[in-house]
Amino acid sequence: MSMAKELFIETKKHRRRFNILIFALVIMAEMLFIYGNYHGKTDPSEGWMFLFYNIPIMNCMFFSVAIAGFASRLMDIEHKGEMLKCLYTFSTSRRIFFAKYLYGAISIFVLVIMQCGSILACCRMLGFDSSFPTRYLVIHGVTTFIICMTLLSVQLPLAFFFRNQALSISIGIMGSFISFFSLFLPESFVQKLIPWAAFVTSGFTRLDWNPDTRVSRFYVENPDCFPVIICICWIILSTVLTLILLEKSGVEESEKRVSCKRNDKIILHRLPVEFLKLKGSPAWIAFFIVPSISAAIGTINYLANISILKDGWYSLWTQHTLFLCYFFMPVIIGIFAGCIWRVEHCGTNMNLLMTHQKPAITVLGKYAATCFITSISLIWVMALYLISGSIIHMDGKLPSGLLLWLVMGIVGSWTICAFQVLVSLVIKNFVLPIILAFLGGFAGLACIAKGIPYLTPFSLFDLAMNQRELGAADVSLFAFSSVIFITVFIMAAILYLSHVDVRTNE
Amino acid sequence: MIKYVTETCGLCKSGGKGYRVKDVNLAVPKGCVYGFLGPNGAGKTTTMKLLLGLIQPDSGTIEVLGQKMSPKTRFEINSRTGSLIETPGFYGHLTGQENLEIITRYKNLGVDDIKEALNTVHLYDRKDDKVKNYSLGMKQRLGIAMALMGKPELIILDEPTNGLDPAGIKEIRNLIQSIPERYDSTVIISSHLLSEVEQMADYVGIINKGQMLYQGRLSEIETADTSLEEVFLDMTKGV
Repeated sequence: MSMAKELFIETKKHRRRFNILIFALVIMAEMLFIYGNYHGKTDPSEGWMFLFYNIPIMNCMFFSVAIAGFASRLMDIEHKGEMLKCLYTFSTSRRIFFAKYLYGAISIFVLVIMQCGSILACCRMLGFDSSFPTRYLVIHGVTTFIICMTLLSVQLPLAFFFRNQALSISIGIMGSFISFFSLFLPESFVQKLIPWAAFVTSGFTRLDWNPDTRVSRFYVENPDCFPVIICICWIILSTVLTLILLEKSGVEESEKRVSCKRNDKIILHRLPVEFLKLKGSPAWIAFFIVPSISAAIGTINYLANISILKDGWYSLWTQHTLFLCYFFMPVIIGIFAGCIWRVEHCGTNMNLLMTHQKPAITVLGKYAATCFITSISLIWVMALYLISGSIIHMDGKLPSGLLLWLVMGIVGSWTICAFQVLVSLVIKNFVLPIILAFLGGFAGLACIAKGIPYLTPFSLFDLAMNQRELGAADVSLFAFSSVIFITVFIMAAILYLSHVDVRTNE
Repeated sequence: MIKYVTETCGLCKSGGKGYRVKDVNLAVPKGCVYGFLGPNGAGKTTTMKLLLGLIQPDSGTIEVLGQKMSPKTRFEINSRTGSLIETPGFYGHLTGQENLEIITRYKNLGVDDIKEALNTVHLYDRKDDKVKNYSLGMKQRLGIAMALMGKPELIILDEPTNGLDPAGIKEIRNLIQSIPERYDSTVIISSHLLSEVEQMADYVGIINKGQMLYQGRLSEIETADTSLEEVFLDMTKGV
């Protein structure tokens, strides 16, 4: 069978999967973000430089996640229907993989074309001068394409070789976070080695900010080819690795049979049923590791900027919770809620569940489990804060409202839990709800920035945990908004589960 | 007068372009083994899902164990039934015993019920293995064990002998035949294996392309010179 035919089959498989539509939505989200934040704030003559400066930063977050999700969708269809067993009888693993890779490359090409179009559209929308040299658009397009292909080369093998798609999506999200944060650190050699950061490090627009006059000015310099070359090396490296692995791969049982010790007696577990179903799943680990990482980064950041951060314990808290609230916590809640529903979405388990338990009990059980682990995690955040504060011998008194912050943070996180429990119930795909949580973190940030923090669950959580705005927070309005969100999401989930036909064999 | 445990009236469910099930009037007498026959895609599974309230009918009514089926009563009715629909549902990363344990939590049963269920389907030796490592037949046995737990009044089994070896098929056949007496329950079993149903069922219902073609005692359909197979093929070929 020729490669062209394989590719044709691949496009057939993705009928009604709306992959391009998802890419279009990503582009739309970026455009909205630009329009919402910078409308009428930039000098039209250097507007195009402004776009070439800001779009790569957003690509660093949005494209990374979009491509991780896309790669996992490419493979998910095979894993779900156990199709690899069948495909291996028609074709070789190498052909199957590269047909997908090629299909991915074509889709990414479309994505990049859409982005170039969106830059021109943004110019028109924001009233910028669009008569900039075309070569910049071409350079931007080519580098973006190469970087996207690098990410695909990393993500697709992960999605291919590991049935559990949580791994590939987690690596994608982690990569984008690491590169995003690295942008706030001084430019370094290491940063240029990270493929996710290459969107920005390969850029040709620079920002010159004068701290005395507080005026920022964009300027163009020669594009830095080094990150692009590194990316090409990544592509080659991952392709070689993939080829070696494909050579050895075959369809095997997902886990080798392990002979386990036999018990003659039946010993019952004491765990609540929702936790029993997650036995052996590593989903909960993130709730303890991620806050630890965040605390470490926060403490280091605090020590590095001690000259600016003069509020002692209070400043340390803001450093600890900044990234955790906006980005990490929504995503790990999303992953946990995804795992907790995934066990039911598998095979015909929904039949089993629905004939044995009331929908309300099911939803509340899963919600309670998610809230429980999230609350423990937030208490852990507080403990880490106190520990690291005492390690660095922080002076002064603890902030008086600490306990209130924690309680509000927990209530705020419960609204996110409710949202994710609903979304993961309705969307059977594992990855999409996590991407929604990721985008939710941004929406929360935007709502906080716009001064409307009571409008989304994500901004409620940010409001409670990150204390920059808490002085202005209205506790009763906060409580009211939280109760409304939790009630609406949980009721919607119960109604959905009670009245919608049970669908299996998706 | 015969007492029915399950009765449907004008049951319809559309799907895609046409009807998956159309005007089905099912009547299952208490204490019998009811064989539900039909070719692949005839609407057997859809009907069984409707009986369990897993999907909602477009029109028609369903009465199970004396109660009208609706999203509100579904749980109450299902707490008195046991079922195995399509392929068995299970949590692959858990052991067989842990899977049954989840069912005992739902149904408020105890250790003895797990033990009995494991022994009934001969999985006691493999109870500490993860279910994803079970063979197809063992998964099927586990599914049957789940359906039988708690001795429900109505047991609905969708092609229960799928994937079983000949000895297993015979075992399950004997088991199903003994259920009405042992548990004082009624069994609805769907199959396209005519010989199986012929040996187990007291009543049969034949469905094709979503419509009921025949319902009644097995003894009435089979005469001296025609077998169930001949009748079945005759009924389903022309429609």
